[in-house]
Amino acid sequence: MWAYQKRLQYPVNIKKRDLKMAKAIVTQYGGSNGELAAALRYLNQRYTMPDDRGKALLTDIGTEELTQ
Amino acid sequence: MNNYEYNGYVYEDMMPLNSTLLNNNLFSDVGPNNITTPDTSIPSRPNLFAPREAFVRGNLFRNLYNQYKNFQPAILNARTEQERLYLELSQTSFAAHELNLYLDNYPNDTTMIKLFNDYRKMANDALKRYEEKFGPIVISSDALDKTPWQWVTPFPWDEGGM
Repeated sequence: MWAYQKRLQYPVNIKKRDLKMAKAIVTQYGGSNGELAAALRYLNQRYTMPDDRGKALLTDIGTEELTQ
Repeated sequence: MNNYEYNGYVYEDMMPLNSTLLNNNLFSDVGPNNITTPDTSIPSRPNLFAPREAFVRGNLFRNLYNQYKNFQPAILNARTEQERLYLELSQTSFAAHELNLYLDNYPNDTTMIKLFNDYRKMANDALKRYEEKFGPIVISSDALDKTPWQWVTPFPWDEGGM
């Protein structure tokens, strides 16, 4: 199940446009070790996690990666 | 608990729940035995950051925070009532979330469960006060009883950063 909140985890106010910086930052989102990849890894690993505590933690962390 | 076969090994033998591997010393100084402060409302704990400090460091646990070179965390100052409420919400819900992740691994730590519930209540209260004045943040909000529909407002990451 999925729910979102209409707020940011940490306040960010972008004051000027900087395409080079944007290009660097977007790799943190969609790059091979970006937040998106991490979120999908955690949320898929949770299905084969045999330990209940590990399962809970992977689900919570995967969700948090999506918020970032 | 079931026994799990994993690569031919019985998982529980590999990693029993109370093995030293799981209960390692990563969080050793935040365990219930080391809390010495009296249990009144929310006591300050020497091993935990206050929510305000934790929020700008991205970490509630002092022993898990490593300063990068001479980097100093930002100091966030609210300029308006809205920013003040928003910060209060962010800081308390971050503290609760940190304890949420901790408790996933240490489910029997009663002291931390109490602290989690204190921060959770503070966060819920801050959320309620924010939504009453400045519109809904969650879809289950009481602030959604007005016309026009209050959910269709600009997204925070598109303007102003809240």
